[in-house]
Amino acid sequence: MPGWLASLFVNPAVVAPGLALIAAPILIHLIHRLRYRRVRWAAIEFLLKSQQRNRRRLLLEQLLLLLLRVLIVVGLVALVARPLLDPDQFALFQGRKTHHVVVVDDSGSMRDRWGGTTAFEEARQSILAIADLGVRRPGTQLLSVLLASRLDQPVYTARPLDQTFLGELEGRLKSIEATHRTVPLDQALVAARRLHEATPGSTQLVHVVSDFRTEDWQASGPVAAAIKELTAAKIEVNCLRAVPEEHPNLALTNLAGSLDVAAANVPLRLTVGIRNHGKQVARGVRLNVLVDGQKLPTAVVIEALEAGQATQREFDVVFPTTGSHAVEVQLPPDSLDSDNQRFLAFTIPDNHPVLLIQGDATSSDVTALQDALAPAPGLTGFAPSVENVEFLRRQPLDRFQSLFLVNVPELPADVVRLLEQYVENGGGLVWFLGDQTRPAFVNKSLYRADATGLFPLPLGATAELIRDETNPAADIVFGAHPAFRIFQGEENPFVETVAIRKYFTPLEDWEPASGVQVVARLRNKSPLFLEHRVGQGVVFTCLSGSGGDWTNWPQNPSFVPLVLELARHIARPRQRFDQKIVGEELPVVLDAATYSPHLELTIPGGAIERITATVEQADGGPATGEATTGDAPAGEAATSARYREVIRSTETPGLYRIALKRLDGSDEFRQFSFNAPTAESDLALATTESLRQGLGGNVQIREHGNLDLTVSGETGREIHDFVLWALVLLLVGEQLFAWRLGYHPPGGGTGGTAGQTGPGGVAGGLLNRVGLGGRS
Amino acid sequence: MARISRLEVEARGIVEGFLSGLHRSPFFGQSVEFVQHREYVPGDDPRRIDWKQWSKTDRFYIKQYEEDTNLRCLVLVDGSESMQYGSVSPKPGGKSKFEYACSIAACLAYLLLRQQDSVGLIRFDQSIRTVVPPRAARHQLHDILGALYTATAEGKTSLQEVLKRAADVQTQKGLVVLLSDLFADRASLDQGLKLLRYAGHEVLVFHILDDEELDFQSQGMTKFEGMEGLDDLICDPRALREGYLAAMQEFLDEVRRNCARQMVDYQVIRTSSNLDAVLAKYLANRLGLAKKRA
Repeated sequence: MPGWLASLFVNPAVVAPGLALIAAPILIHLIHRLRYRRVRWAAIEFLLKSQQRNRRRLLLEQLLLLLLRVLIVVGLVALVARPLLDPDQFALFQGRKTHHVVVVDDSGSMRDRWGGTTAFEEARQSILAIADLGVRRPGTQLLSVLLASRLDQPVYTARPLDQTFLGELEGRLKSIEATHRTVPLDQALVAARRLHEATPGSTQLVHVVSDFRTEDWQASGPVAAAIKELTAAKIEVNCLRAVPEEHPNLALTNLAGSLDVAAANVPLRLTVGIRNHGKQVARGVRLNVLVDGQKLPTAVVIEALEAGQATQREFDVVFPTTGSHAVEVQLPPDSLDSDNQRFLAFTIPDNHPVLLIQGDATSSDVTALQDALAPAPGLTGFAPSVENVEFLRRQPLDRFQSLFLVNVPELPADVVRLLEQYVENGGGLVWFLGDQTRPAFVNKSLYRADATGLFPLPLGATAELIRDETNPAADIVFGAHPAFRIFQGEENPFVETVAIRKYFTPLEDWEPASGVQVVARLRNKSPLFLEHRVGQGVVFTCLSGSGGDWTNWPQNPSFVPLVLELARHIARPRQRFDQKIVGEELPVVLDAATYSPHLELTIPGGAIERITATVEQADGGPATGEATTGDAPAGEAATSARYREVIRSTETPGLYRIALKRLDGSDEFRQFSFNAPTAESDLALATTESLRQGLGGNVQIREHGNLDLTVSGETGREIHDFVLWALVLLLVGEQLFAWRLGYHPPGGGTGGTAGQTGPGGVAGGLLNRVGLGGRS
Repeated sequence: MARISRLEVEARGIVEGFLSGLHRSPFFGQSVEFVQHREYVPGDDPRRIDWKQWSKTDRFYIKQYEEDTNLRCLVLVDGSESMQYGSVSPKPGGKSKFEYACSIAACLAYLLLRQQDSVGLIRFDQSIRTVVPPRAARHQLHDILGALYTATAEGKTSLQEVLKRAADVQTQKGLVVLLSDLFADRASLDQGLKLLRYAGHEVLVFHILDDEELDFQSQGMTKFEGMEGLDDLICDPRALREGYLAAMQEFLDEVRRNCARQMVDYQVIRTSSNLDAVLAKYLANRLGLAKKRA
């Protein structure tokens, strides 16, 4: 097939046979002239006279009819061959090449699976179809393939399209899979434009192969803006849908719990979130829970989840040992597998140290708290220790999850400063007041009007809550707060017997500052519990005491859960339990004095990768609080050499296990969980109309399955339509002309004779005429 | 035939004859049926003066009688090759033009002979092939039918010669019936008719044509093979139909005009028409016309 011909037709292979077909009406005409019947005719004189008179007219009519029929065949051939009359496509004549940049959306949603195929597989086919188009016009087409997840590494850049390359492309595409993460499509389009800028003078086309979800392709979104920039730069944009229709999808959106206070053999309550992205109610959804790879015998069942709605379920898990653990929640399979699993990895320490500071050594107020936090060793996971104020000055506070300051007197300024640092760095602080409490000191040194101090309000005088026998209401009115969660029910017989006898009142003109929350009040509306944040930590303030003359609460059974919940609520985060998303980097920083630089990374699926971390000097060290530095305090890391490695191969959702070797020969394991981004779960597709409106009318949008990518651009489409209409006109014209030339006896004639008009439609009439309707 | 036999055939005009019959004589002579009196004018036969009227009125009147005479009819049947044509008629048993002409001739002969008229026949093509002189004999019908049905159509048509010969055969005034498609030289037809009319004959032309020749509804590629030595033509008849019909109409009009000019009774007859109906209608018209003239 000559190249010039290939550049003029979409389907050049049919051109040659089509041209041969042009001879068909001529041959049929000639054959028809040879097939005649013989009649002995008496009135031949008049026939000869008629023929003599009409000879020229007959010849003209005959030629015109033959021409019409030839043109009809040409039209049919053109309809199949698809001539390219788009001036941009005349590469032969203009000496220009056409550069196709294919931007492939390889985000997690492209893993959408249906009927034995996936969106990404469909995308592969679309790319091959584009390449196949180019191969038919060798020497004129260039192809670049850009994965939206790897903008810096195009799969191909301006490769000339030929048969050899087509085979290579097919093999290469088979080795590529969609990622599990969200990809920056807008940046991909910018990168595509840069690729075009590298090949100036070529006809520029960008093919975007995507599922075109509503989530990504909103009219006002960055992707739409990038598309508009492309079209403004005269780059033709061709959007190819890889997904035929929206598929229902259930997604796990969250898996979390109070991991900071998780302890061995202590039930840990976890919360899992699930969203129904489908358009129908999901019924009987069963969630399986796996703890350290072992499936729990019970499952979480959701009876019904309305379309578009989300819900949460809580469940308890118990870990018999300390150390690294993992929880996985699984949904039944659906169209998108990535979000059917949710992983959570964390480490359970030996205990959670809590420091109790007592102001009055003779008081038993602290004892009640200590008993509540740890009735027995290992029972709650908390390890309370009771110290005096001097301890605050002598020992670093960072190792304590929380501090309880009970009836403390005035504090030295440096201690106040240490406490502020502790809270600002994430520590939890609880105030219980008492006889030793000095309002003047509190108001001067601890309280700040902007709620940045350690005390939430200016203290006034103490007051007594008079017992009103006629009023059966409880002394405490709890607000909505996690620490009071167990008191939220209507039946609280224990709480109703709690008596608050004395308490501090705020100054009269006090109004809660922004950030200060009154979470519980006395029945006389005076605030009792307040909470405010200072830096990264939480300060919880009780305006009464923890025993003695102030309250009888320690003797009440409800005191223990209150203290435990409070300790969990304010606990200093010891680990970073942020939900890692696939594709994020995982930095590993190891103290060189403790660890060997050699580590083993086990990725989901079991593959093991051996890594040797590089030495990094302390002054260039990373910021504190990185994922793997929990065992190496920032202060220590800053003064010693350490190994640093950044793990980037985190594309697969699941558990990543790092095996470390200590210098003393012992092993250490750390686990990290990576989950698919919830943004990829919503598979709702943008409609073609909304895409047209959002992207502008110059963008071609091709539905799924329409791999006829051959004619690009509005001009090409108009040519196609023009050919179609021309063919229709030719058919109608031929019919009318043949009707005019034909003989139509009154009343329908003999019928069935070739050449007579009648039922059978245009095509049937044409065939009849081509076959038998010749003129002499 | 049975229907035709019930018809009374009367000639349009009164012809000369000596046999009494139903045909009116152009002469008022001795007869039994008195018609009228007419005043005598010089030149009338004095023997026909009605003396009784003279005695009553003292004026000379002559008596006029209606005198019945025999019709002397000569039927000319075209037996040329073109008369052999007969389309594949939609009706089974369709006839060629020649067969149709023979049928007409036979009917006329039968009717006229049954009325004691004399009938003769000439079958011709480019020359006269068979002559049966007009007679009123009993075996005349057999002679005529024998001449018709033992013949086949062949040869060209040459009318002038034939009509001149007919005028010779028909020495007395009478009726000459021409049965032909007239596919011949129009000038010779005109000349021949003139001759007959000059000889005082009543001439009746039955122009026999096939439906297909008149309507030309042929379709599909056809090779038309000319008869009587004319050329062949391969064509799609639909393309030439319009021109053909125009030429045919032109021919018919010309013949009709010539006949009218010669006072020749002219009738186009389709071979698809029922013969009895055609004859009955025609003769009824003729009779009506004759009575009007009388």
